[in-house]
Amino acid sequence: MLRIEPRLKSEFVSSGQVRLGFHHVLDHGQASELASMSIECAGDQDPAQYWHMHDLLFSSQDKLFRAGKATYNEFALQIGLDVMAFGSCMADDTHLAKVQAMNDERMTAWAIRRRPSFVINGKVYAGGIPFNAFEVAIQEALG
Amino acid sequence: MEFLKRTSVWIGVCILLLALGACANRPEAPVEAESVAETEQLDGAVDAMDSAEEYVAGKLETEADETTAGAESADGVGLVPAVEDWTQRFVVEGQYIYVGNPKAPVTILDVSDFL
Repeated sequence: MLRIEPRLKSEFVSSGQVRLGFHHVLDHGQASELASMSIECAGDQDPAQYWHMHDLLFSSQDKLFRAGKATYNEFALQIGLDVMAFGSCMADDTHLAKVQAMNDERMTAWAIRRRPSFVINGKVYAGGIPFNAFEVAIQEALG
Repeated sequence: MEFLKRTSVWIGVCILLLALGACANRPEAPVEAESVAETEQLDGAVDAMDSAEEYVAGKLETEADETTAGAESADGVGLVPAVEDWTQRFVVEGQYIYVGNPKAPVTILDVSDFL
């Protein structure tokens, strides 16, 4: 999704035909949990910041395996969040149960084992798919 | 001769009065037309803003301010709502925070790990 998302946004989201959501997958234990919780904590302050943190995490993927809460506080500072409130949200594991439940749901609801996978209007597309496959799926969904 | 002079003076006065009357009346019709056009445009803009508000649910106050600012920037002349950039619209719905048109016909969920 990292490479395809900008094109999806410019060609389909900007025109109002498509909206995007993110569903958490936690394949790397605590490291994944911290990353997922961080965008939820960002979203608590401002829904736009959820997506700013999402974009920042994908562009900083190489740092995430070793990232502790201090790294996430730096990310929060970088995108202009209230770092105290963000730190408190992270320290309290405010969204841990939510991201774990979503991770469980991708198995129970969609039996998704490969990532990234996509759910387009309820239909599962497992594994990374090329942009033209998105175009076809979107056109199908548009009818 | 005197009669002709008086007549020509009266004709001159009449022509002058007619010209003044025409000048005084001329702007009225266009002004009315402009007012009607402006009112219709304003109604259209208000309708457009009303329908935009349907999408505002859950969006930030700052975004609402931006929409208002966009409409007011025309200084009340030919109000035109700002063009919506759906990539800047974020809406909380259920467990997701979506980016894009809340009423988009297609919803894509990215089921991913950040790592």
